[in-house]
Amino acid sequence: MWKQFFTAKIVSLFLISLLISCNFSNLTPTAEQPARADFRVAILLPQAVNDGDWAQLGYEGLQLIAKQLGAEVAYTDNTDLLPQAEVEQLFRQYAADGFDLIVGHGGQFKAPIKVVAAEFLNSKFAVVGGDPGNNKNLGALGFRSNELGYLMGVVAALKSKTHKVGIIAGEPIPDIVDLVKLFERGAKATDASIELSIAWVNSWKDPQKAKLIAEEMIADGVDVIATRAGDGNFAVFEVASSASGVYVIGGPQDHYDRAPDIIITSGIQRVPVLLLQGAILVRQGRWQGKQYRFGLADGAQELAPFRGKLTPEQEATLKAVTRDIISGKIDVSP
Amino acid sequence: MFSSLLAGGLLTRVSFQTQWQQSIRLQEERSKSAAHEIEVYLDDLQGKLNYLARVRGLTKLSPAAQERLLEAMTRHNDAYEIVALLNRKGEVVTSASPHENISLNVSPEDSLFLRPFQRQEDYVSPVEIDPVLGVPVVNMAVPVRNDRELVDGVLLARINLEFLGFVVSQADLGATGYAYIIDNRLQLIAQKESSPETAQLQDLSDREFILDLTKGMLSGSQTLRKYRGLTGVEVLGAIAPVRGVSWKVIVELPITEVYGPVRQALGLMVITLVFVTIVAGASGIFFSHKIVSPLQRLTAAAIDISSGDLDIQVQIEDRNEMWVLANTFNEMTGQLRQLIAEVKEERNFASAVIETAGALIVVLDLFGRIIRFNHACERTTGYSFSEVKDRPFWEFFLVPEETEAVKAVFENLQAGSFANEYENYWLTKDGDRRLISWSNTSLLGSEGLVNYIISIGIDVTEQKQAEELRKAKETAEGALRKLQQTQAQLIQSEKMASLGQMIAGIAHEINNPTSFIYGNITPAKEYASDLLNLLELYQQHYPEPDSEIAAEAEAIDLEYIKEDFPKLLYSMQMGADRIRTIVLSLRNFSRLDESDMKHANLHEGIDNTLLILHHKLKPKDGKVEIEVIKEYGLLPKINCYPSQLNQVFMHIIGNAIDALHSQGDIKGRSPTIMIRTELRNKKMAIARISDNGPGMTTDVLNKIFDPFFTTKPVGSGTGLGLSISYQIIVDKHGGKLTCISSPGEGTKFTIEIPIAN
Repeated sequence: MWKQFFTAKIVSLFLISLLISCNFSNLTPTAEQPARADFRVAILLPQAVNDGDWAQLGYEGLQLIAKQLGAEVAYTDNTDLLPQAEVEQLFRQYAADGFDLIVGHGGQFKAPIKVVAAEFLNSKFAVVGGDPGNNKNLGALGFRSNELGYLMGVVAALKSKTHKVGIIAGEPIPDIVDLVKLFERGAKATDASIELSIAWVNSWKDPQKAKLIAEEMIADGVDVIATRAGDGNFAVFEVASSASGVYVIGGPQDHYDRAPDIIITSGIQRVPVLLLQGAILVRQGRWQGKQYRFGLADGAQELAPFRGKLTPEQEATLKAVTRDIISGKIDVSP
Repeated sequence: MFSSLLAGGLLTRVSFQTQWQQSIRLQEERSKSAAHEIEVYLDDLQGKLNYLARVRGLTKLSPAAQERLLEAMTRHNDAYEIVALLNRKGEVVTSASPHENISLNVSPEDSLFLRPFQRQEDYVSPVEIDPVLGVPVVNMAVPVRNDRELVDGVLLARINLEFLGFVVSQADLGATGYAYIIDNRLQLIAQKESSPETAQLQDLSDREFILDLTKGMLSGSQTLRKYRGLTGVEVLGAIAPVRGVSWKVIVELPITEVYGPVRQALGLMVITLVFVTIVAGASGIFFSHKIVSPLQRLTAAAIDISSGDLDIQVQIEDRNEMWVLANTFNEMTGQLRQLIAEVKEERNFASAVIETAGALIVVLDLFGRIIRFNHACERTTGYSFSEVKDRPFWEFFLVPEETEAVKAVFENLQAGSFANEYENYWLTKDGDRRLISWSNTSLLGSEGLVNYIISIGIDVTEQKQAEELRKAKETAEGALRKLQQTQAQLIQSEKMASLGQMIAGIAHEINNPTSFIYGNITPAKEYASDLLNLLELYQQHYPEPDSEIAAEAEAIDLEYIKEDFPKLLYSMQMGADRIRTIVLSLRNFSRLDESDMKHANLHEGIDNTLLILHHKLKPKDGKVEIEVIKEYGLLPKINCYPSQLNQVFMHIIGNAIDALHSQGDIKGRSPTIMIRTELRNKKMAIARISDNGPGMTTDVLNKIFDPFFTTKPVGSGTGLGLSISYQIIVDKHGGKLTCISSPGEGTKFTIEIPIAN
């Protein structure tokens, strides 16, 4: 008798739960359509695929495309070591091979990619950086590096005690020029009395020179150095680590792990997000031969966490500045 | 009850989580859906701009053509409030608008011009309220190209955003849900049911949830689900970006609606739980009453039973499981009662059997102490049970010489360590010795060790005495019989010896004269032949003899003599032969010279015997002829006393002949003696001598081997023949002599003699 009673009870509870679950079962979203496997993407990377810097970000973007869109991917790295003609030939090979999207990962590819894009109108070409495109099949995926440069400038000015900040940059490609320009503006907007040192390594692969520049800056009393010098970044971290009271702002990825003690933050540029957005447009057939730009508002770039290197007040200031940049209240036009 | 509460709670929680997840997904879908709808709208609007931006050499077209293109845009969609083409200096070259009173002034320093022209990128301005139209508008500007695809100007459009309010109003957002759109400055640019007249761009950048939502959206991990929404109430919110512009659609559903179904389910669950709890509680009380009190009664009854009260009965009124249990219990006690009564009866019966048994029954424990001692024991020993109870039995009953050995057995007692059957003397209280024949049984415990020994004894004192008497009598009788046998044997052997001597003498005496006859017959035959030949010659040469010779020849019947004389001689030779044979048989039979054991052929003995008895087999004096059938098997020579065996054959065959003669002629059955021999197992020589005579009665058969027993008329037989034969076969040769016979069935003697002897 007890058993029957319990059985009845369990059955009734089960039925109730069934009713509840049935109520909403029709709301389960349908699974996303799997991406077609015949989408093929190739990328040319200026430096080694594992450089821990710009080229690696490009490679990560390629992997993201492969993962998210089920694309077949290919890459060639260290193309900066090749003469222009050979780079052009690489683009040509990928295009001839029928790749749907071919990416030149950096401003240095603008000239060769433009030549090849005109030859293969059936393929889409993208150059990462600033370019108006060819109004046909070559477009540009660019960051609003100016936004980031401004924020880095604000951070540097906030952190500096000597009122001397510096920025060490690689090659003066348009994006980096914008970044440096807005770094200066951001720093000055934060601290009108700030002294700025701006130095160009004129290479992404010259740590020695970057080191010398950093040493020079530190000798001049610079206590916050922003760096966007490719391989040179790590030399700057090294020099700053051996000096006392000197801090560094890294980028384009979060460099915190490289020198946790001295890195205030990094100007992160999410290259994988950028490339994925471009690939999606190509995949949708909406890729246009124009400039695409992504910034703070799109989540394509941001400052890495400060991890206690700034006071809460300083962090609040940065938050407000970020908001104002996004809303346009602060003009960060280059 | 607790488990049901637990299960109910768990189910509620699971269903709540499911509902929550479903709601989140629903909200996300709603936000995406609304964003998508806006994207479609914007895409259409931006698409036209992009279309013109892709036109090669747009800036180089004639102003009229440009104007028509722009005009087409305003005709295409009402949202274009104004469309204008700016040259490299930022001056309006061409413009089109449905509103006549709207003009466009763009400063060359304005982002509207600089961003598309200098930065060569598409530009979307922040949303603003158009001062003239009083509606939210957005300016979009794209670079346009010359013939060489180079940026050569800017195409600009001001877009009325009233449609956004319509989109968010139309979206299916649940009964109380709503959607709104924020732009890149986090300003509220459209909202459900907001009329354009009252539309003010509300700055939401100070709202934490907006910041968290946008941040969550950008990082791809939307964590903010529940917060105080735009209207200040708790909502479940979701955000989706509008591609192409930095706007976001936020969809918020008040928690009260989200929880609606959950509350409903919860209510149902609570009601169910309350109901279940009440039912369970009531059932609990009911069943505890129904079960516990009968159980208590059963327990009490069980205790009573264990204390010996078997008459207890448990009464349960309700016909349920407890009633069945109680009934079973009552049945069980009833069976228990019956069982105990049966056991008692069995025990009384067993006791009665033990006490009244004529045999002595003693039960000992493993220390030899007396546990039971029945009446027969008391009678025999003179001790009462109370005298010997729990005392070792050897203290009373054993003769002194046995005591120590028996005590030793009990000190190391094991099953089988004492004799199961034996006889010994027990001492009675009076000091008499009684011979008791004991039979012992040990009762083993669970581990195979001896627990008790049950001894059952019979007083055989008198029996023993009687047996001794009988044995003495038997001994005397045996001696007598032996004496008689010896006597008969002596007589017979003497008789046989004298017969043998006589036969030997006769044989010898006959043999010599017979030899003369036998030896002379051959020359006699020659002489006769010669004489007859001579006579023949005379008759040839003198065919006419003188009369005297002729007369004499006539008188003696010479012709007959000539004919009969050789036959006569032949007959004489045959007779002499037979005499020789008879003499040889007589000598063989007597065997006076062969009284020792020797290897001999049985068949030879039988044949000699038959030869001697030949005369008795022939029809004579009105007696019928007896046929002898011999079936000899293959027998080796056996070690024996041939003359003695001949005697045996003589007696048995002679008796058979006498028996056959005694019965006279019986039709359909010729008197026959059958003699068969065979070798059995290579060990025994067997001779079977049977006749189809009158047979014998059992009485006679039982006595045939007795000395001096005879069925023949007085003076005809000695009554010793078979007796002696038996002795010869059995005693002398270690064999067997048996006889099978019944009246009318003939008689069959079987002689078995071991060969290896």
